Amino acid sequence: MEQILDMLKREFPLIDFDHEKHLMTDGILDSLAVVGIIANLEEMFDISVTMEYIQPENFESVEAMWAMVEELQ
Amino acid sequence: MSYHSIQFLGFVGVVLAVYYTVGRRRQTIVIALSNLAFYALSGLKALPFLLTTALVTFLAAKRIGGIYRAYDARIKAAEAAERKVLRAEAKARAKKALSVGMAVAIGLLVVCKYAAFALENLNAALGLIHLKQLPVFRLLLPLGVSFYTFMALGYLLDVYWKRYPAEESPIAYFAFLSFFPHVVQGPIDRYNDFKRQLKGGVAFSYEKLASGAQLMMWGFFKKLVVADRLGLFVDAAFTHWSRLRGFVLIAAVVTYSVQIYADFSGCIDIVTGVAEMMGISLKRNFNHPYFSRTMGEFWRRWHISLQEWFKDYIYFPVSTSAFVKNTKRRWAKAGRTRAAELFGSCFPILVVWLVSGIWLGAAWKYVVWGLFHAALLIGSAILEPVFAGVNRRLRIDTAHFAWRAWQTLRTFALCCLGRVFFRADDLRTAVAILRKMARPGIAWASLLKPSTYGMNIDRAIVSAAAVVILIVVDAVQERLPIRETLNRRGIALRWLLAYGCLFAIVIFGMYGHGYGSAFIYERY
Repeated sequence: MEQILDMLKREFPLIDFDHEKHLMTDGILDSLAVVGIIANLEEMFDISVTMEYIQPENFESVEAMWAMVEELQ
Repeated sequence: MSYHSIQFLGFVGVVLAVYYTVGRRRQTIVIALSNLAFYALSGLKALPFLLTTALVTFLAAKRIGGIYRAYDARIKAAEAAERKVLRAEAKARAKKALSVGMAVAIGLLVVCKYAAFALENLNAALGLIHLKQLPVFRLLLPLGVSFYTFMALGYLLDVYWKRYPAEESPIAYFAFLSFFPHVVQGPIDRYNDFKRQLKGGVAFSYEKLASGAQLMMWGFFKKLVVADRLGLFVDAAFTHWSRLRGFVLIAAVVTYSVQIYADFSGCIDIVTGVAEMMGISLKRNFNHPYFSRTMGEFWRRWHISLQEWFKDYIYFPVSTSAFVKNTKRRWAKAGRTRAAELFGSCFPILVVWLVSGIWLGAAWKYVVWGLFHAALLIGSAILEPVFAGVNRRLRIDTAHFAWRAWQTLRTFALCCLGRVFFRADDLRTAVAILRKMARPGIAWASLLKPSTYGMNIDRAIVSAAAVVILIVVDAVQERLPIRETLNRRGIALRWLLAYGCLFAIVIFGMYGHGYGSAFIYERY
């Protein structure tokens, strides 16, 4: 999970990923940001994020993204 | 049967009476029958198209659901290595059912909406090489075909992507797809939201009935008092555009921008009010878009349900497609990292806006409208660091009210430019109008005779007052939920406002023989 957190902090330095738990619901991440995150996750973990997983709840927080990556690995 | 007709009010009254008396378990059937009656009363000929789309997409989703259920049991019992194979097998079989459902739904939309456009353009191409022309045929355009087709496609894809299970009851699915408040102009709702709200039935609530009626009344005000009044000037100006120039044409385009907002959001308020009276919340479609400070923000606040549909069913699939991924990878390997990044972020936007333009209608002006907005969004994404640098160098306080007001005004102006393509009869006329708008000069003589534009001084004053009311209400809504706040106030104030709105509609509304017009988005 630390890897994801580092990547997010590097890509979006103004967002507080440690504390934000509703990144999608609160409109902190938009669709362009999600596409960027997906590309990074696929490269970092050698996974393919299919459409079933592109749902707001999978991008709400670092924990949610990590859970999705674990499922896909 | 138009949403702003007396007949529709009577229809809603009857539906509500039956809906709340038959018992909760039968409410879905009442909705399905009401939808059938509403659609048939609006034109029997279009009904087979709606029924075919509903039946085929229902059966395709049911088939997909059946395939997944059958494979789920096998996948659970299988070894880890075999699971991957079984998952791929299930997906491949489900994809066949999905393809059939999508082909029929999209096929009907294309044949009804785009066949004549495609044949005309093909004939133009054949004419260039002196070949025989093909006969051009035009089918009727079923009411709301673009909207219900998108809802059906969304449902099919959601089932295919396992976002929720397929519906087993054709009546429940038909009740959703053809739900009479959203079938003509949206909002483009999602099946799972709709089903969740109807689960277990809806109990009668006076609060919801009153709140829905308030929203409907405000929608009637927007449509009959604001939109249709402004429409007199807009229609006259766009009919006689060749005789006008400069300020008058700019005023017409700005007025049209207000008219289309009042018209479309007015319709959405009416239908959302009707659904609310039935205890069903429709998707929010507008969030005071003209207060946006960037075009990106504008498109997150205008026709929200369509933008979300494009995001979920076109933007994400294109962004994560093998084509985009492979192209990015290839370019990055060749050292063109920036180009790969730009391609990844810009290509899906271009596709979304091309589809968006084509979705609006079968004409080149809509394609250009889509490309215009794609260019604005892509341009702002690419140039954002440049703008930020300029602002820093010029020490602009981007939080200052004046800067924010300028941004809002700039966004509105860009939006108005796009509206020219939307409103003009065709692409050539749109370009000619844009040229004439740029020609300086004010035709003072014609400006002093408002009758030239279907107006007189009294009408102009009422229209201006109505627009001011619309802006004030929107500005207040930006800060607080106006209906909820009013509902907490005394009954005297609420009734005073309700009667005020009612009298304004009755006295100043454009209705009756020779007046009034259809909703602008009805034709899409």
